[in-house]
Amino acid sequence: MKRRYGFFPGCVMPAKWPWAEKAILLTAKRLGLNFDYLRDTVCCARPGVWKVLDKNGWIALTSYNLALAREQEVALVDSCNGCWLSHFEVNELLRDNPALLAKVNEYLSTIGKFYDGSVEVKHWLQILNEDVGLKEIQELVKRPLRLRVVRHVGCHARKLGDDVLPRYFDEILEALGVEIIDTPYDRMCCGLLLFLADPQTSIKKRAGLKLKTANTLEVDAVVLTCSGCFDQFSRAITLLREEGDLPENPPILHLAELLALAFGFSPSDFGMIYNTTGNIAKLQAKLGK
Amino acid sequence: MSRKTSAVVHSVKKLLHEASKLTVVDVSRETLQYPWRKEISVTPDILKPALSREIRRGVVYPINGESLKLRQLCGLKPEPPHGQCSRKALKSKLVLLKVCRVLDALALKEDGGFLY
Amino acid sequence: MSHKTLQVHVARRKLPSKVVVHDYRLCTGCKQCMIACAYRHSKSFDFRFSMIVVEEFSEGGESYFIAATCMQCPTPFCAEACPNNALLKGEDGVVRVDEIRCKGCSLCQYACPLSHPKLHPVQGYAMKCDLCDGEPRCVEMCSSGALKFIEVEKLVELEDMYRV
Repeated sequence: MKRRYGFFPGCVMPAKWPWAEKAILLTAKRLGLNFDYLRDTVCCARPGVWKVLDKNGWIALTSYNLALAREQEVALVDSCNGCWLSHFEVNELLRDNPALLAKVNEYLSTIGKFYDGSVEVKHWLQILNEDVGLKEIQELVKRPLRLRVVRHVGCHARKLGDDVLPRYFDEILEALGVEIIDTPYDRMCCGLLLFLADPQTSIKKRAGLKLKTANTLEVDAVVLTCSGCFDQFSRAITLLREEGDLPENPPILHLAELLALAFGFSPSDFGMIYNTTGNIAKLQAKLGK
Repeated sequence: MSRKTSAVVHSVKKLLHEASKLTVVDVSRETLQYPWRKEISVTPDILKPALSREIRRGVVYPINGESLKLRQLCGLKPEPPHGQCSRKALKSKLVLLKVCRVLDALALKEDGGFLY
Repeated sequence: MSHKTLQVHVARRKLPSKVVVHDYRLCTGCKQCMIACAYRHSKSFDFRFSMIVVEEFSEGGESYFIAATCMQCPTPFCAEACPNNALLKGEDGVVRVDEIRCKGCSLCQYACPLSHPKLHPVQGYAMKCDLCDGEPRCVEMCSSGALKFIEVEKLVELEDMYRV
């Protein structure tokens, strides 16, 4: 039987980035994956905040989603780096520490849930690279994308080291025929994690700086997989546009959008045309050539 | 005294000498010293609303009218099936609050304070 | 400061078994370490309370972040400079502030090569890294792996990390 995946879209994607959500669903189907939503979930709980405030609370809340994935017999899939980190890290902590797992189960039992550490937590990049494979992805490419892009991997995606998720990101982009443009700020955080403490630095010296660099390099898009990073970039774009500090910028795209385009879907098939983060018409014109 | 210790004494003396040239004691600060120090709350206003929203709704970004419309335009079901709006959201919220209450009741929280 | 006092301190010189080190090559500048540290010390996200400081510097078109925090020196200058003996090195090798003894004179700040100790913005006493009693929050929050909490003996193995 095919492995079943339970997708956890998180809070930002359904509310602010639905075209990326649709692109993930479309491409998962095209890749032949047994892929559906993980049902009835709650907040991941956001690691950047909850882990700082109350580590034990964070573990207990996050284990609720893991218990759901166990119930629904799926591997838990995250595209957002924050959600992935919460689920992945809590899962590892619970697996390594039976006493902690027993304690968490005490709390979960009060709401009729149980967790045994058996769920596999996977980042969407891992599904593409490890479970599907670059070769299969390449075989499905109908329209190699002759685009120049800047990619932003995100801080939490570096948890397993630079040789895992960041490498997967690059390899998938290359498989789609995309040219990756390196910048001096590739490693730098988007600033989301900093926003509560220092909004100025967060917007201007992180996301803003990255966007301006992308502008200077005249790339076609900034590519992400993390909804948290998208939230930060879109916020930075709105604020900087209001200040007149960012007249133009390339659109912020999810890697799944590029995947969908390469697989032959048109931008209107998954709602990419509603993306207001940048000049989509320009991108479409380039794709049309 | 070993040569090394003597070198440390010398460098500390030098540092103290340098420091003494500077005005380092703020007189107004004296009034803040023990035992007149008062406990103050330093939690910024920005943090509490953000967190209570997160706790209240169980999510950071609730689905609103605009996002419902966008979701439909993108060919998605308006209500995401992972429980962010309507009855499912309520359920999530209740579950979340219940877990939090359980945590609270069992004093799992180590930091204490305003959270729940 | 009398030589006698100094000798007592020197006799107790000791490093903690593990220290926090930062690899600038891996740092993304997210400042989660600062947020976690500030919350630990003040229950707020106010960076004035963070005992680890991340600063940006640029060189040859590249941008890096470096983090500075207390090295828990074997012979801490901060403690030696304190006229009130408010900074003391514990048996575990960690230098801590006795808030009651501290008069907020800032001498520890001037004595420290990193100017690490900070004064509480309201209450005026010195604050410094205490390694979170053996579980540094900054390291726990670092997703990129730039911050490490490692055994002192293993520092030699990290020599490469600091070779620019």
